[in-house]
Amino acid sequence: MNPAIEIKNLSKRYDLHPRPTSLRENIGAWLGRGEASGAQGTQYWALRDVSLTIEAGEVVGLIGLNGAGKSTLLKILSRITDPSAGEIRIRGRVGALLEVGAGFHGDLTGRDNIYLSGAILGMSKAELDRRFEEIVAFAEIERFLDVPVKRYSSGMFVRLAFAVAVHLDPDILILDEVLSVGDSRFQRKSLSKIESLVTKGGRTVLLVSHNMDTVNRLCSRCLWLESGSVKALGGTREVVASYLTSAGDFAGSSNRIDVTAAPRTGNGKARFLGVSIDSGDRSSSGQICTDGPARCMLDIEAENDIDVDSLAVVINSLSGLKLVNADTALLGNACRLRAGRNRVIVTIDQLHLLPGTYGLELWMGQRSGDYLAGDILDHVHHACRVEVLRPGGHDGSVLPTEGLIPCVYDFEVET
Amino acid sequence: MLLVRRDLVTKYAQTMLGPLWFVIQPIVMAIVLSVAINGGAGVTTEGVPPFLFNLCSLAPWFYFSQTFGSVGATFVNNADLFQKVYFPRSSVPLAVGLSNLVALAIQTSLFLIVLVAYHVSGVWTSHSWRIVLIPVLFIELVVFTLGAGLCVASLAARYRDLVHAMQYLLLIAMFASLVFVPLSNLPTHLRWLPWFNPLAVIIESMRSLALNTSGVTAIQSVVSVAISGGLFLVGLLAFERASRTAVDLA
Repeated sequence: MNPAIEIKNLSKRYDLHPRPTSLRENIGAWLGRGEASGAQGTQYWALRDVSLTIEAGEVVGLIGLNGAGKSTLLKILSRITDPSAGEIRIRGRVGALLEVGAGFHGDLTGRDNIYLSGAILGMSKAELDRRFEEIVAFAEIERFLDVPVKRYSSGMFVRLAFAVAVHLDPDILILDEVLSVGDSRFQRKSLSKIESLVTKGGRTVLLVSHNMDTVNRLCSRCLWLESGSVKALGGTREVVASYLTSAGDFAGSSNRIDVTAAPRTGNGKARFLGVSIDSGDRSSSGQICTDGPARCMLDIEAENDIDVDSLAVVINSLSGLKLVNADTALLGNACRLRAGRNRVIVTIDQLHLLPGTYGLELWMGQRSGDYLAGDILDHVHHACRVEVLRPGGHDGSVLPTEGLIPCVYDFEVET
Repeated sequence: MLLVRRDLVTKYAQTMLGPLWFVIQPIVMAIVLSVAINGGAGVTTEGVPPFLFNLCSLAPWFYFSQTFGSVGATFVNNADLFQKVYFPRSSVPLAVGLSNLVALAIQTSLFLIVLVAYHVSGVWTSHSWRIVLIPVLFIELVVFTLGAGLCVASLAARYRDLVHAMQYLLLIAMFASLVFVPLSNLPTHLRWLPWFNPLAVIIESMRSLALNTSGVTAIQSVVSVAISGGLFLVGLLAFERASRTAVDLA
């Protein structure tokens, strides 16, 4: 069977300063006179020599930092813009879910907009008639169908826009997870809708997500883009693991995060220099998993020999909720540091956190009653991020996780 | 196509008079032109009552100016949409061209009603049965307008200056297209105009068909049709080319 998407040596160049190019300069360039405008320095390669083959029915994740070229690649695949070089071959109808609300017009009613937007996205009238009820029900706007959408609340608007977009039924689905929208209840609904689109068999999917847990669960293969080039392409688990260890401020086994420049408070008699975190388990890839062990290696510089009463590794949710506080003060022993560089290893036997991204906070203080400013040695509010993965990885269990803390549970129906 | 419906519905949404504007616009304009140009500046109209004369010319002129204006700004006005989703780009200007036909039809009907009224009251009774050919003339009008608009749109995707220049282009075009002057009234050194300006030919022919004025020669008509067709093809090709990378420039 032929692959659904074939990309060969795809490149996309942007001119960063296209403004000064006047018509005269351009005509001059056509006639072969003068310098071609847009000198080397002003050009930017959003994508450089990207090659990728996706088989029909495959679910491929696309990861990378902001500016890595993910969106550019999706835009080219959905034909919004043309590549500067390279070839694409696509077999099947492409449905791209990059932004919601494409083609909506404020003066038209909800009903009209469903048809207009649907048509622009490539749905036929018959298809829309068939799915109309479904779309309206999903968006929960029955009462407002015949009201112009500019009178909608912003929540209603995005719900309707999203509903139209996810009800297209393409062979190849290109989607950007960023578009889950609305209040938290609708966000859940839209996320699970996206996941059901992806997991409904037989469809080729290219998925951009910043949530490594989602990528791990849904994708069999993964493409990692870095500054426009392919950094890695392969099994999701390996690619995600190496992405996490290298990406920005994610702490990993082989990735020591330098925190010397991080925002902090404290008198600085002892200072955190760097941190790395892994599972302490040599057999696995070193990734931290739910209910698995974690080992936190801290590099600390002290001015003099000092006994630190309280040294803590704190794990926060991304919303800032303190979840784990591994504080040496509670163990009853002071932490003895010598003048100069020290290494302190904090081990956590079992980390009861569900898969997801968390923030790491570091703390050192003396216990003289209240922790007043003078007693704080060093407090790094956000040292780095930590990714907790699902044990076992891509094992077919596709249920998304809600909440933060795992528990063991069972149920029975009483007779 | 749904885009046509969108253009129609949204154009006069939240206006009090709504579609009545289709009618008010040409009447006011025809009065202004009749008083200022034909009355004030003394431009004669081959004996046709100036109001009738101008009303006749204004229907195709309004179609041109409206359509040309919005087609020319296609990439600028739809940048938001084009950045989000792919669909055949040329459907937008085509939809504009089609939806504006409604205004053209209304304004032409208005003219015909006024023509009949003049007839009945005996003020102006000269007429021609060639008037039924007007729809054929409108085909050329659509082709020429879209052609010109597409050319400007393709250039304006890169050179935004054109969007600003457009209103001056339209002003010049109004004079160059004989909206309120019959060709026969032009000084001889300007008589070459219809050879290069299909719109002048269209408007002059419209009057000739409906009001029995002198009109243009057959060869001039043929040349204008050729120019319109050529312009349309060039415009379509240029537009397709421009649409591939236009979003990067937006």
